[in-house]
Amino acid sequence: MAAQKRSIKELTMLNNDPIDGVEIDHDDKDMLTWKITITGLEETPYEGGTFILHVTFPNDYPFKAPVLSFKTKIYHPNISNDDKGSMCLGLLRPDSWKPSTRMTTVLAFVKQILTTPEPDEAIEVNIAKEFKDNNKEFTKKAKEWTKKYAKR
Amino acid sequence: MDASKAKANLLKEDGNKCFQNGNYQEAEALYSKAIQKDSTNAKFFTNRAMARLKLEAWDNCIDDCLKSIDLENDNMKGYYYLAQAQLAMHHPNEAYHSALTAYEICIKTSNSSAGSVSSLVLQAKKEKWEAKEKDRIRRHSELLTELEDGLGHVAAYEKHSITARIKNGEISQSDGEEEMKEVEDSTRRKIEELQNIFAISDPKHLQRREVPDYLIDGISFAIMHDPVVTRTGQSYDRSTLIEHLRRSSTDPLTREPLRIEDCRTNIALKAACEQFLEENGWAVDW
Repeated sequence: MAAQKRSIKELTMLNNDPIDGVEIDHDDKDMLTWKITITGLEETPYEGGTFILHVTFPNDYPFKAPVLSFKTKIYHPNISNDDKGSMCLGLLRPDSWKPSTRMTTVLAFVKQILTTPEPDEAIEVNIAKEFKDNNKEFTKKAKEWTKKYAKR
Repeated sequence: MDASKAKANLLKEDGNKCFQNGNYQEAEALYSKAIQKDSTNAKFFTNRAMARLKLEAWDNCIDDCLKSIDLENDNMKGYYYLAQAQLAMHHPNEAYHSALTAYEICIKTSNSSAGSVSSLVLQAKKEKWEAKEKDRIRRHSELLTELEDGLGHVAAYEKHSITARIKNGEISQSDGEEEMKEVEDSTRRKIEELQNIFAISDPKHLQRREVPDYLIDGISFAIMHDPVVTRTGQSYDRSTLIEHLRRSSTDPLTREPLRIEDCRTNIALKAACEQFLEENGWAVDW
């Protein structure tokens, strides 16, 4: 109930004050799942791509962090390269989550991580290593994946 | 424990099982039997009150609650069920006091139900406001009818004297009819104007239905009724903060260590919330 109430309010706030390149869709019957479309930012390897991200609010949200899951495959050190596509770092980590953090902040954070990966908090260690040691190769692969999986 | 007390306890256990299975009728009967064996156990009465709540037997539920409170002063559940039954019977003022007492006991005893009891307090507050609103609307509409009738009477009197003047030959029939029409038109205009004035003064047309940010809890995003302030200066509703601290003993904003004992009631903000809710009961659902 409380999770529902808060997610509805967060949605109203985001509708009144949207984030550039981030669109939010939801099913009226299930306010605890948002379907988010993120447009890849210019001058990043994700440029020209459209990424679908599901946000699931746990029942005890906002005491627990929302769960982020990329439905579009993406080559990124901080997003798991499996069918979950999970992203769980920084303010989203259970031991860093603060119930006062708003979804506006969370989504701005996602956008920032897409622009500037955090290899030291990587979930995909190999991609992180490549990002640090062979950035050219990383950029090439990330661009390829964007072309392959994220073009509309 | 003597034999009848032990037997009563077993009956209560059976009652609990029935209750859990959704068989409230049977549960109520078993709790009654337990009470026959031992009428000094407050729990038996609160359990029966809970079954009677489910059965929507409000009066009987209230009796049980009062009895359980008699037996045990700080009976949180007794007050909690009492508030629910009183709300169901549309006694929001009584319900508000019962819910508030339950809430205070919760806080005093660190009871984990503070969250749901707090929602009940707000619900009662909303219904108090709704009752007041209903009364206000009724009074206004009665006043409007009275004023409309008054204008009607004045018009009737004027028309009556015009008829008399026609009869006495003071004015011609056609002049008289014209005057009558004028009286009718002006009365109609006055009544329209009066209705407009009443419509404008209706708070629905005046207030933007929004709750100011400073009355909103930064965690639940709902209006607060018992705000406490943390070391950062930020205020939260006590019940949501307790809920958060149960999971993580950290400040919701800075994640520094925080205990509920470190927080103080924000008295001024509490008064502001109270006053706002007094006039804007709808804010509970906002």
